[in-house]
Amino acid sequence: MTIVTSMFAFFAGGRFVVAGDAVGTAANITGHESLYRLAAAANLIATSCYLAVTLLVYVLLKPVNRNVSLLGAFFSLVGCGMGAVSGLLFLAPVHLLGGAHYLSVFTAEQLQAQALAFLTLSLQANDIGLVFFGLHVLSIGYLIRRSNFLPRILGTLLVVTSVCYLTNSFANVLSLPFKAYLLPFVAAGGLLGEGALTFWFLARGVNVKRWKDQASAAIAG
Amino acid sequence: MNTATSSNQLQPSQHTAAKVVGFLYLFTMATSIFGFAVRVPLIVPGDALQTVRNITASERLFRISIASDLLTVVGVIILVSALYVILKPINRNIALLATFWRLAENFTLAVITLNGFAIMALLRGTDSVQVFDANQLSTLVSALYRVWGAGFNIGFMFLGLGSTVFSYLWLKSHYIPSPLAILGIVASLLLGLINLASMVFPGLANTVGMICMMPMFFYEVGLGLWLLIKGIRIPNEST
Repeated sequence: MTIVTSMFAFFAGGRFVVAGDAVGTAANITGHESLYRLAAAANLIATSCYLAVTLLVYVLLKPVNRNVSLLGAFFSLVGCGMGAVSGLLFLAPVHLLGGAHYLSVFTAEQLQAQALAFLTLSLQANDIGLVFFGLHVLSIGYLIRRSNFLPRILGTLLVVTSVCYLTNSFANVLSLPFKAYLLPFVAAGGLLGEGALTFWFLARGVNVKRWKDQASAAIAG
Repeated sequence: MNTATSSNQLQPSQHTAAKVVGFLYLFTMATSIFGFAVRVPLIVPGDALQTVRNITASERLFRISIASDLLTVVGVIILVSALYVILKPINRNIALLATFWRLAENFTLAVITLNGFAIMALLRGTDSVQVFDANQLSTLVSALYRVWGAGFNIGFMFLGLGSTVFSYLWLKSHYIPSPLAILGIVASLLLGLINLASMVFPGLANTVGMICMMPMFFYEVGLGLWLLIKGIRIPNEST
């Protein structure tokens, strides 16, 4: 179990660094193409890692409630798919701005406008993905609160995180007037919940004996 | 069959899941029709310029229809998980296959909402409004709208596949009346095949129109009401 949890912590931690990097570099497409491509690659690695996280969390929390754990994993799968699509849209501007001959039917301004539209779309795909990741985190929070091998406060924090994610996404989709003020809260909420979980897994791990008890109880029941 | 013995007794989680499925069939049917009904009046077939004007004027309405589509996807993922819980005892591997097909459906339907955002990005971006003339802009918008429709074809093909397999498991389980399960198989197969065929024969969608959706509508609403009111039952031994 220690291996499982430390792997989870490693991957989840990696996901943070990468996500922050991708957002920071998004503005500099033309000037720093290789950096831009690196961000796209990092995003794909993060998605791959999160798939592993999904499997590990499913296995970890299956003893609490198998069906809810599976539902959470399904949400995460759709979110990861969204992440991959976002990666594709993220790379489209590179090709549009690449100066290939067939692109000469468009003016430079038209190409830039299309590149911007694709980049906007890529970020929008991330927002839609966040709906599903939010629901995944919500299921994890719920299951941790119901478990007896992890502290309840971690679960509560994750529920707060998921509410931040979901509010953010729906405010963006509906373009509600207050959406601009949400980002600090969402970032703080995300860091608080997922950061606390990562830190706990790294520092303490799970109570292995109680996990085994609950797992065998689930099989017996 | 050893599957029969394992399905002889219904678990409490199966009863709960049946209520969830029943409610969500009705709920997601409502949200999907709402999303469609809000969006369609904005689209004027054959008049891309008017369509652009409509969407620009009612952007919030357009966004609400996309949010409603996403809500449908969220609801259907819960619905599919619950279907898996109910039908897993009949045949776990086949239930898993149906679940994966329906996840592919919902993933596709989530992705194609991006077409809506692409349309708004084009119409909203101050840059693109200046660099494209009105005709170019409206051509791009109607192309994106057509891609959106093609996305629904792909998603509904997976929906047809997954729902056919789930209906087959319903039939084997005898948890619900057989005619309802058979309606499900026919309706889902029809939906899947028509959507697959209309990729090869694009004119088909105009000919068949909404007719291929109607059996599916009656199946989903019928099954939803049945599960909410009657729930699932253990098959009689006489069958």
